[in-house]
Amino acid sequence: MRRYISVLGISLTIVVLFSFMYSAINIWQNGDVTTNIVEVASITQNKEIQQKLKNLGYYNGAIDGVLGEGSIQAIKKFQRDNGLTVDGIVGAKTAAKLNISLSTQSSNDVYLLAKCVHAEARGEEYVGQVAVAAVILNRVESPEFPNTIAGVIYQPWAFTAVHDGQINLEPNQSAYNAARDAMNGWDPTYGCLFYYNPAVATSKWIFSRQTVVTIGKHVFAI
Amino acid sequence: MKKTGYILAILGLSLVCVGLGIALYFNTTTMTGHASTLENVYQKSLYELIDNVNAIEVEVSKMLVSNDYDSQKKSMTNIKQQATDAQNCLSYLPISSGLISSSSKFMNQLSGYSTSILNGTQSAFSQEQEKTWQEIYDCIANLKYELNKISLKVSQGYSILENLDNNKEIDGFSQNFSGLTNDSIEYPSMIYDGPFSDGVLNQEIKGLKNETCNEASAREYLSLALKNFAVTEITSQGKTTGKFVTYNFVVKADNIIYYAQVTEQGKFLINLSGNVGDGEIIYSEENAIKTAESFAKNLALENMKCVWKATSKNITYVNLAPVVNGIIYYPDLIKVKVDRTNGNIIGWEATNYAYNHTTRNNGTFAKSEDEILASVSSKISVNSLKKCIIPLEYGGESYAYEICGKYNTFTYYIYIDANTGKQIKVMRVIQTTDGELLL
Repeated sequence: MRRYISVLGISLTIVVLFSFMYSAINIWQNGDVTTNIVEVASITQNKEIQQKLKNLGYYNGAIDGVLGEGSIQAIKKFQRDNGLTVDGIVGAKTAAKLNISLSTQSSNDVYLLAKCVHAEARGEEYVGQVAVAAVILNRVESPEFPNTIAGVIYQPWAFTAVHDGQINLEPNQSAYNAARDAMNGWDPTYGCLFYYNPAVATSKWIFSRQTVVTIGKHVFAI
Repeated sequence: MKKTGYILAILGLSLVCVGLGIALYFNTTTMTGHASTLENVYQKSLYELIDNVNAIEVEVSKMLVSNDYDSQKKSMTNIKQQATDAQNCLSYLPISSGLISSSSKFMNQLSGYSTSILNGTQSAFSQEQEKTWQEIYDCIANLKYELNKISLKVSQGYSILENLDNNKEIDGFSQNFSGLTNDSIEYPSMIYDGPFSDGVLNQEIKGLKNETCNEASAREYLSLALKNFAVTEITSQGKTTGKFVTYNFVVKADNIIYYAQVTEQGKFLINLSGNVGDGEIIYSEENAIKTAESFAKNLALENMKCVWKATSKNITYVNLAPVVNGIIYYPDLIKVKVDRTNGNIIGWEATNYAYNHTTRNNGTFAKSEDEILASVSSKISVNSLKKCIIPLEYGGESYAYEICGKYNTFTYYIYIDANTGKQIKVMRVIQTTDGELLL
């Protein structure tokens, strides 16, 4: 009996210590998701710079989007040959000489839309994911809803997957493609503002909306 | 030995209790902090909403008694901003959307209505507009009354968070807004051409033939349309009964599964969506454009030419528009997706064509090309000048000239009215991580 109590006490202590360690590691590893977007934007721009320098004979390295020593030396040589300030940085004047637009934008809207599609409709067929993305965009256009993608997605109680945190899952390629298609005008629901899964929905109000089409598990309505 | 065991056990259990206690304390403190912050955000949104509505009520009442149009225009500028802010505040509040859809629509349309009058050339309100503003005032007065009731509650200690319950369709907090629905308040109709107007939402369908078809006929048409796709199976998926009534099909072809929609009216392939391949890119953008144009021709859509292309990873988006007598018909745009790993068409979107395509005979280009070029800013280095018809932002079309040019490494598209010489809009090519965009 006493032995059992000792073992229990030691085991509980170990469990608690491990729990604290796990939580600490989790918190430390939680990065800022938005840096992914900024990093992708920078890489695209850097690749363009490297390609231009390669075409002009200043750069022989890989087009990898990373401006390492080789890239910086190439930029400096280009700047020297073109009477620019030699600092290894592609600013407005160097970009103009290279005929590059510095204004590469990160696609926050596509990313946010993809996150919501992934959260709400992963596992649905592709056209069903496009339809979910289209509903979000239809709401932006509708006077009855907020006027931005972020406003629509984060409107309180609007989407279950936002409310329960699934929105924070990293979207897969299918969700990105669906988001992009919807932003390019694809809408297999022709203007629907609502969708629900009849197997799990409980709101009497949503059932009263006019059904337009059923795609996969979701009924789309206006 | 036995004593050591006891001591260890007691120590272990004590550590556990202390650890759990500390964790619970920090957790509770953090959660209380978060809850407090959220309550503050909700209350801020509510108070700002009430401020916005109060401000709108005052501005509208001033307009109704004013005889000076400049003063009325200042009021409308304030109303436009306050209405937009009010709509934003409504969207931050945790209220069931069914209860606030009418008031959201009202605020958005109020902002749009003010914008459309401000953008016009009138020098006084028409009788119709006077009547509408009076109706708007009556509505706002009712909204103000309902919202001030809620404000009084909150000022007496009502907690929004404590009255939220996501297990209920309409929880305690949402019930406060039941007086804002269509059943309780008469929201006026605002007739205008502008943002969120009902005219924009209810578009006429011009591009489809009048005859209707049944599902069998739609399936046969689809089979012919996709004859080059190596189709093995077409399965019916029912109907869409919205703005367009369509027969829906799943089409299996090689390794691709398509979802296709054929309109009941006019028997027209309006939508096609397929999955993208994952191989190496082998198809050039130029070939993607030829494939898209060829597919349109196979569907008996004449004169469809590529007017824009953008590539994102292994997909090229090709925008096709009819080009008739050298004029690009932008309102009749069709979008095509081509998979560059295999050259397959994996997307077709023709809603604009279905809405807008029609024969256009009575347009003119009163201004000459030289006059138009002379009116363009000297900063722009012009690359091309084309004739076109463009859709206007809130409905309608205009004959125009499209000037493509560069300034400061950026590419711009400028659209100038072909008859008045007035600039309609300017768009710029934006580089994004997903390819080029025109904004």
